[in-house]
Amino acid sequence: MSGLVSSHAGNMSVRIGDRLVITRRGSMMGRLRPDDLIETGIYEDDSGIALASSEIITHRAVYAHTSAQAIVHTHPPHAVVLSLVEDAVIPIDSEGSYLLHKVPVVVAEKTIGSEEMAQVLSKALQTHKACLLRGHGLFCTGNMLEEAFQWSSAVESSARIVYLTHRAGIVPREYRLKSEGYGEW
Amino acid sequence: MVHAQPAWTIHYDLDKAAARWVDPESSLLSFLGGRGYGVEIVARLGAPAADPLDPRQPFVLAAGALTGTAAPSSGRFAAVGVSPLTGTIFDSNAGGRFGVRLRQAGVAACVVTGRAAEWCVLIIDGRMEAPAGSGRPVGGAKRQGGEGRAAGAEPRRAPDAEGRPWVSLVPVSELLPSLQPGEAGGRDRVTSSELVASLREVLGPAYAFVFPGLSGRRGSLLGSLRTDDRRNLGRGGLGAALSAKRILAVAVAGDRPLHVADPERFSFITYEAEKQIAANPVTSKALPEFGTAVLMRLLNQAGALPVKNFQASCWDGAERISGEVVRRSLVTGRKGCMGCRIRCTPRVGAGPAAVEGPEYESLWALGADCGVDDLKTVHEGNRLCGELGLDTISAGATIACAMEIASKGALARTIKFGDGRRVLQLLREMGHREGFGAELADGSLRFARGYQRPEASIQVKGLECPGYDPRGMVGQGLAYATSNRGACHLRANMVGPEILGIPKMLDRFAASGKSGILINLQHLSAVFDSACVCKFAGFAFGEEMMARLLAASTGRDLSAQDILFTGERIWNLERLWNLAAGFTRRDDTLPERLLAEPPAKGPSAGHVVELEPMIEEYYRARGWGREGEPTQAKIEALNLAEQARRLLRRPEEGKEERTEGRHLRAV
Repeated sequence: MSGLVSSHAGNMSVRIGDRLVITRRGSMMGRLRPDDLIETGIYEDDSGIALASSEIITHRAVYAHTSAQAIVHTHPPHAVVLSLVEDAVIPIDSEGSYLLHKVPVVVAEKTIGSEEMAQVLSKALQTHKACLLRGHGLFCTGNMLEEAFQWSSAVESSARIVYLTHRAGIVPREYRLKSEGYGEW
Repeated sequence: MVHAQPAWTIHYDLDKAAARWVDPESSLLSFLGGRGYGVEIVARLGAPAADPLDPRQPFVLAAGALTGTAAPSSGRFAAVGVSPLTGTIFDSNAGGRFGVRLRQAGVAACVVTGRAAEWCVLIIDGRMEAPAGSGRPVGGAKRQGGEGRAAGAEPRRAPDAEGRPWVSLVPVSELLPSLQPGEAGGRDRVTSSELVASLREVLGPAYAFVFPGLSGRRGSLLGSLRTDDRRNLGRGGLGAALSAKRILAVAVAGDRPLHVADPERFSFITYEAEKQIAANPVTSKALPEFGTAVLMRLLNQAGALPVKNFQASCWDGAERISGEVVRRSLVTGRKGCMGCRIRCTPRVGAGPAAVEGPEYESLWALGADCGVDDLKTVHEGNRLCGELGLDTISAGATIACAMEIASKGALARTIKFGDGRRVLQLLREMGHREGFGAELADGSLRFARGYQRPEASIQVKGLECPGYDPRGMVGQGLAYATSNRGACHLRANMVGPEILGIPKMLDRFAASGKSGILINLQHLSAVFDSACVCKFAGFAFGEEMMARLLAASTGRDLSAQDILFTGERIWNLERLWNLAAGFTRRDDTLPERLLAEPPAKGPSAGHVVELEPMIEEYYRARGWGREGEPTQAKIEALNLAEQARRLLRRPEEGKEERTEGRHLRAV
């Protein structure tokens, strides 16, 4: 998770049937221990809710409305910067084009642990495997945890390239055919 | 609409020799065509409590929402009916040109019910241009006509003002008088290539056709379907199902251009999808170079190669029939289905005499499972299965079952593992349903039970397990146990996450936490089978790309979750049919060997499948009850209440009684 979150930020989970296992509230992503993994229900609370990440409401909503089997939430700095000014991050590098196509940015007024963000994110993640919440961070889904982590890393990598290109004032020369399609479709 | 242009569903009642044409839009909207639309039709018109070969059971040939478009690997179609081998609802899927011609004829699906008075060929002609010069005029006074046409009158062959294609049921005695039963080249003797040659001569090259192979025509439950361009719809005995309707072939011609709703957008997404295929080493290298045979060495190295009727899970002989050896010493080239860039089909020989070489499943079933490591023998066995209309997987597995029973002294015949000549002899006998082969021609379950050795039949729901040993990849065990059509690698193949690392590598011996990815694969598989895109493309892209392709081609607003929801509807509707046919939780299991007998050596030594906890987790993840039944809440969420009411009505409310475990337990 290097470069994707600060020491105690971010969270992740996996779905197991009608249950989920999520990281403990305030745990360190870089030093997870067995008791940092909290099991609770997707649709019903049990005592595990007292220990679960504060973003569990979003994790539950995503599991309820998509086929995701794993979720990784991070605060990648370049992607967050772009989320403040763009409605979508559209990769211009080769790998990002292949892997991601387009990463939408959604907006919520209450950006931590809110029903509002759970709704907008779970809707966006029905059509995309990665989605940015403006000013907050990135949510990625996958069929397994490693896959969701790969999308997280790939989004930040592509966002950094877009950011550096903008920052340097470079107008990139297009190397892809039909390049306008990445933004439009 | 799902098809971006009018597409008719033809209902042909064989009892009345009458056709009617139906606008399919509402069902296609929900089920995407192909497998999904066929399942919806069978569930609506069929009788789950009746015998699979009962004339009331519908048989469907359906194109998919993407068939014939520029979408990668989309030139496919589905056959859907009730399997006489398993008693489950069943579909099979193939490439070739039949599906494309169906759509070019303006047809989404062709449904036949009833049983013809005599053997017939069903001809569909949707060509807009006059078909002059494309073959002899078809038929005459004896033809069994369609709706709106006086018997005996020479029919039109062009579509009518509404674009409905011309349909006719022509007796074989009239169309192909040389194929009289009992004669050397008769209907009950003629092989696949001979039948294709006869039909081509009469109908001309514009027609594509699908037909039951010889085995099915002689009533064998392993009888497959085949197309004129040698694509097989192998599993489940659908050849016997179509034969029971006395249909020798369904022929279709069409020349209508195919359109998509948003051509510019569709072109871009297709371009992206093709780049994904080109960038993926499985679809751009492994399959084009080795075909599916590339799996032989990989599975053997993983200890997931079933050997000698699943008595071992790795084998020294595997190297002699590996993809590398097949490429080096047998294959002369590759070909692809219509519109496919992957081109995975091996060709053997040159010119008109060239034939298809064996794919992985055939190499496994006729090779490793029977202990045969002579590649030429396996290739000849594969060719025989195609000519005789036998499912290579079930045929090889049934012979392997007999070999094991013989090796334990319970069969007074000399059938030994590794005896390739005996395998070829038995295949010929099975195809003709003659001699000892007649005992094998209905599959391993019936054969093994007949010899009081049911444990030697390695099957689920009556369908023989294919070439992946679940003791070396336990998620595949859950896939076999829960598949709606019996043990099958095509409902969801865990070879991706458990062997190839697609999308990422899972611990193949771990049981917990696999139900979710399996369910997603089952739903995605139903989507591919319904849109009629080859599953091999699924190694390169998944639900997001499929949703974008479908949205651009149909003009509908479709997300990845929308199409997976459709896949879930299809899966649950199939499940409802199977419940109505008497299947229960106890049918969601594996052969005892896979649950209790670990391989003695190799990478999977000591491993068995701990199935029950996986089944529990799977049912919970699906929102099913403890007996594996979709709950009322799930049925309503999937908008399947009407179908559930019809299929699961109580016996006293229906016209016929349900019998528990009816089909297989009566074996």
